[in-house]
Amino acid sequence: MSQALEIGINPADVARNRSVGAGLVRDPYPVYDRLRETGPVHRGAISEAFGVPGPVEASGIWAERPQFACYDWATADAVLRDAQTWSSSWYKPTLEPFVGKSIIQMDEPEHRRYRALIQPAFTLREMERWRERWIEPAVQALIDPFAARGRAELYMELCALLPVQTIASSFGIPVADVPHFHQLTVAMVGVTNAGSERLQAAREIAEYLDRLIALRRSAPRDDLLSLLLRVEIPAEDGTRARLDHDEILAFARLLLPAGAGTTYRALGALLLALLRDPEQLESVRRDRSLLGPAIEECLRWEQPLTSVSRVATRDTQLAGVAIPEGSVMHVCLAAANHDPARWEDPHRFDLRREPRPHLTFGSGPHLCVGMHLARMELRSALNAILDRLPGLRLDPDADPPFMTGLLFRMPSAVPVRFGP
Amino acid sequence: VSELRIRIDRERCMGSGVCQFWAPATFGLDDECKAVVIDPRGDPETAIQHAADGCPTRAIALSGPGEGLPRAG
Repeated sequence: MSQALEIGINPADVARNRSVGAGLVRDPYPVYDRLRETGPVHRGAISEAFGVPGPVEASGIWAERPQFACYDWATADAVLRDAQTWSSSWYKPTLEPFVGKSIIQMDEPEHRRYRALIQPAFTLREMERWRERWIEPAVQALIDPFAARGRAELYMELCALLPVQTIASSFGIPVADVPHFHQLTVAMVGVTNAGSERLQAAREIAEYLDRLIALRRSAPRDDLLSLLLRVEIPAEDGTRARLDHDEILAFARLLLPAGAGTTYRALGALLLALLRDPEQLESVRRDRSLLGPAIEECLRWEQPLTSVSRVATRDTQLAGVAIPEGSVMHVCLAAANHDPARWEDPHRFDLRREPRPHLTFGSGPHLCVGMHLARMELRSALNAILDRLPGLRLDPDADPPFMTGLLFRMPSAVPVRFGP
Repeated sequence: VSELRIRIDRERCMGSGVCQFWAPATFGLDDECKAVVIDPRGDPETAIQHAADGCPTRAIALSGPGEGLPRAG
């Protein structure tokens, strides 16, 4: 039991999970509470409060800048909404050399022009199409191999695979290529990976996508790659132009890992939350109108990504703390989502709680473009599990699973039994 | 009976669909991916309030009965 925790679908994923705190921090919430009460704005990166290396220390990126973090709802929400003061340029050195120049690092007004190109593909109305074409077939195909087995490790057999298959399919990547592709995207985005490894993965993804882009250029299909080839970006003078090759690659290299890595962990947390509370699980099984509230509550309670970071564009004040221009601000979404000023008994997973907006998808102009997709994947997967795996329960013979992680939160495993 | 008034600032709206998520019978998105009101009484007032609160660019202003939304202006 004292062995290092190994969580992951491939070696890159195991390394990535370890780098984001898997096995290091089980329950960060009491620490967040203390930081919120004594702050809510503190000097220093979030990881410093836990005595573990975070992305800044591990990569050296931005290390020369003053670091701050905020831990309450009001401050976190205000920072994310005020994109003029709080630039997303944090992501420039951490992602641009590998992903390319993508919307995650852009500020306004450039960001909005680019984001608007893909927003229509991710609307609530589009999600029914996503469900039919890409999500539902993947959910069913992933459950098939273990449906008659009576037991499964749902975190690796379903959660790790569904989101990456969905987003890869939406780009027109064949299912057979997804495992290799998954490994590459994880290797590319890990801030703590060696730069050379990240560059190599980014190059391999580009080579793969180049072939696919050439195919779609000659024969467009109904997928995201074809959309990126078709859309036109308006310039400030009103003229419009197609995206160039690098811009298309950057969109793809951003959206593929973004879609693959987050919902993976969110689905694991949702299943574990319900399995550990059979009464709440049973209520959702019986009354599927509780799927929505259960999903929102779990998103609030254990968000897959616990913080995002910004850079101050001017000298400013935040909750009485002077922040010099150029400082890094780590916005602790997890602490904000557990702020007792907004949620009563915030550490409790309670699907009867009235849902209200949380910060799991961020806020402000950079609000997650895939949030409706994430919710649809969670809904489809949970529905199918409840339909196809009767008597679902935690495997009593397995080590009791738990939530773990600091930058990312995830279950250690989701071992289940089902059937009579 | 006075009723809740909902105003949408199209310049601010970025088409995230947050409003549609919280109050699907009240808000829709038009062809330009901008939020529109389809029925000001389509959902309970708390749902409409969540839609306004959750809007990432504060593009929704409420006025009238209930809490209204002073900070949305």
